[in-house]
Amino acid sequence: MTERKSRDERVDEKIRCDACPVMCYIADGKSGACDRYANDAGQLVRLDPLVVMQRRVDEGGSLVPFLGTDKPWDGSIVTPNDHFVTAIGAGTTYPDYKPAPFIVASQHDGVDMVTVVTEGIFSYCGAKVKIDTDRHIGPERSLVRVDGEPVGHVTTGEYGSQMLSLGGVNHLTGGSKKEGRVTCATLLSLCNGDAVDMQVDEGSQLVIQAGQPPIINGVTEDRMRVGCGSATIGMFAAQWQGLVDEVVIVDDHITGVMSEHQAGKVLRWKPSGIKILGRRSTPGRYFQVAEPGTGWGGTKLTDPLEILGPFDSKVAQPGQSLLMVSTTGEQFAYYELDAALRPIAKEMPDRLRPSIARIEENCEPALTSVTFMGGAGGSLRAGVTENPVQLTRAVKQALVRVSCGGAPVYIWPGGGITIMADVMQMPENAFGYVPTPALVAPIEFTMRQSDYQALGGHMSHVMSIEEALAGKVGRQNDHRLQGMTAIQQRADIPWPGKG
Amino acid sequence: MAAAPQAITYPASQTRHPAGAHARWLDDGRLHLHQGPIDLVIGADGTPDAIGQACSAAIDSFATVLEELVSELALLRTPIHQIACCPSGRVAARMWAATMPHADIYRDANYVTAMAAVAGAVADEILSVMRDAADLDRIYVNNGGDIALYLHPATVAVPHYTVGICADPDVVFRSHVNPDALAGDWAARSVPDAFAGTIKITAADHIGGIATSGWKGRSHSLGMADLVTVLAPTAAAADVAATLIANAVWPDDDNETDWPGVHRQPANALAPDSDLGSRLVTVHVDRLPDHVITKALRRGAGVAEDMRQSGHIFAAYGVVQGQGFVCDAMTQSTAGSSAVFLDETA
Repeated sequence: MTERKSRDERVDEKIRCDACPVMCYIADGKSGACDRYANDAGQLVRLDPLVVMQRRVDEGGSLVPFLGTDKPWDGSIVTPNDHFVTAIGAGTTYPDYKPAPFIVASQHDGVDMVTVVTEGIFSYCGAKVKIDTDRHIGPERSLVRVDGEPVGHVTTGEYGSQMLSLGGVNHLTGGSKKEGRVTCATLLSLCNGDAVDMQVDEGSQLVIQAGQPPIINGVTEDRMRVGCGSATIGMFAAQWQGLVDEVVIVDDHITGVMSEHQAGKVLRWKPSGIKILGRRSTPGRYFQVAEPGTGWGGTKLTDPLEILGPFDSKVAQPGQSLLMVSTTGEQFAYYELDAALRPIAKEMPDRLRPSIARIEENCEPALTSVTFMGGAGGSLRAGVTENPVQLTRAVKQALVRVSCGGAPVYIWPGGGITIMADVMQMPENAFGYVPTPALVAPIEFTMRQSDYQALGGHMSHVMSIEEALAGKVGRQNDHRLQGMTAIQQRADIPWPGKG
Repeated sequence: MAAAPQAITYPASQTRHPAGAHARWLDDGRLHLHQGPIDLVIGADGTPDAIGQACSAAIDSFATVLEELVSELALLRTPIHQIACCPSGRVAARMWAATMPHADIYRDANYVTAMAAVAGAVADEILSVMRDAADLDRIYVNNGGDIALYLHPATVAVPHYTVGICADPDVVFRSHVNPDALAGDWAARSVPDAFAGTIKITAADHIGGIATSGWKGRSHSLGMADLVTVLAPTAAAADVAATLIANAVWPDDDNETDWPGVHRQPANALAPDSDLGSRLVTVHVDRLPDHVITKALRRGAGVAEDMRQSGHIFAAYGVVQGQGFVCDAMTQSTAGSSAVFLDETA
């Protein structure tokens, strides 16, 4: 940074770009006719920043700008050991008949590591979205639309969560041009951590954003349920004993009834004569007590008494108490039976309030999580080694660590290199797109130098990390990057390449 | 961040050399040709053999286009009225031919150079090579918004192109040009909408080029038009006309004097080797009062109408901050004036 001239000194500097035959003269701070190359303080730069993930232990460290930002440098000494070059902004050489833009050797724990850095163009990619809610967002297989265009569908539900499967090659390239464009834009926004407004056919309107609570039909989801109705009975049975005569946990999936449930039986809970209108699975566990919806416990109920039939007059007693509560503790009601054995709503007694609060406390915050999924195709692999299938095998044998913007990835078993990565673990704006339409995602392959050689790697194109940090251009790469951004490595992410 | 997927050759040594031309197929079957500042997206319809032949010819021809242009760059950056003879390059000759008709009016301080036609001329040349190589139903060559197009007059299967016109991302207007329905849908013409209107072009229109210019575009503009779109016999002709009409969208006859709310800088401060030299180009326009916009649009519309009546162009549309003008055969026959202002026809 000390080599940079002050702004006054370089005001009049023009440089001549040699990236194409036009050979533009470019004034300081301006770009050439192509809008791709620019003059930054007398240096010809490509207008994509390369992100370098800096390995720093301290939490809360700020970005360390290397070039041209207004944030102050925090004075930390930038030593090559602490850097891992990510692929963000590395550019790409698609179609990859030549080596990836940056092949960087760094020493890590005394082992020579090689990182092959490129931005992959993924036509085969999508996002799996997990939305922590019990609310019914739409039937499974329903289309999910953005701007009226189908971008994916509701897929099989998971524990306490609704799942969306978005993108994929058929929406990106198989439908209309607009469908492809909207799908690409949706994936880009989600993967870059932006909010997207979507509509489920025959279902809800959703606003989802990675790492944020989902907003369903305009209501922000607060908590993920503590468990299904039956599980909730099991978890809290002992706490309710002696305080109330019957407890019903209302849940779209499995509604639990204390006196009939195994947990209640163990505690010798007395029968209450309650009748649940639903399909009984096992004692005390009922399916399909109501239609799914956005009311009590993911049902459409606003009045929980709708799921109750008449109490058995041979068993039930007038004055008997009944607590009904949802799986998140958000909805609750207290009743006592009158002389005709009808439940009459009463104010919640103080003795029961702590148990409801306990349910709520035990619910985790509801979040939306977005997982990027994509396949590294043949040509992308060819950018890494001369024998693409060897790379696939090496990945499977864990000789090669794959990361996505420095974030760890899960590699699917089976053929190809199909990866999944949590977008929240990547630096901001790690993704780009091309109008094809397809997503541009960073992808790094890290391995021992000796393994790289054995795999048929492009050894003659390897440079040291010191050289990469000094701005050296890979000879396979046509562009010098506009400086770099050092970002702090997150403590919960293992150092790429380790282990 | 959104790096385009150019396949760029890498230099064999550490010395950097200019990158060559590159061709690749987009997933939807269109051809993308790229070198330096030129990005062509080409769509062709016809038999697979014909498309293959035409595209091979386009790729071969494109390989040398930029080098040829660069070899005559100094000449092409000279004001057109100072050039005595036609340049030798294929594209350069097209640029010269498209710009020369305006040399009488645009001279001295108010000069124009052949560079005003460069994008359109490249598109025209590649289109021409493709037409010569094979018999196709229809072809378009889109050079960053300046488009050369061809429709086979005898083709029944693919009778037209539908072209979307985006005047401004914020405020756009609808217009429909369709000689088959000269009555015109006047309501639709004047409705501001969130997205641009579309025009349907048939072989009978003889429209061979569409170009757009304005200060919001990629090239420098001397005027305050957000965008001016022109339909003309060739893309090069449309390119020059759009540039000149956009330059003329200015509220005052004196383009040298600054106008409040319009921010300008010398062209050579932005691009040292600009053919515009030290002439002031628009870099930002604040919200302007309606009467200023109307005056500017009237001047632009006047220039457009002169060009239309001289046969250089078929139609022009211009927009400043949501207000615009339409200039075509219909506006004359229907309204009897040289141009119709959209806000006046509502």
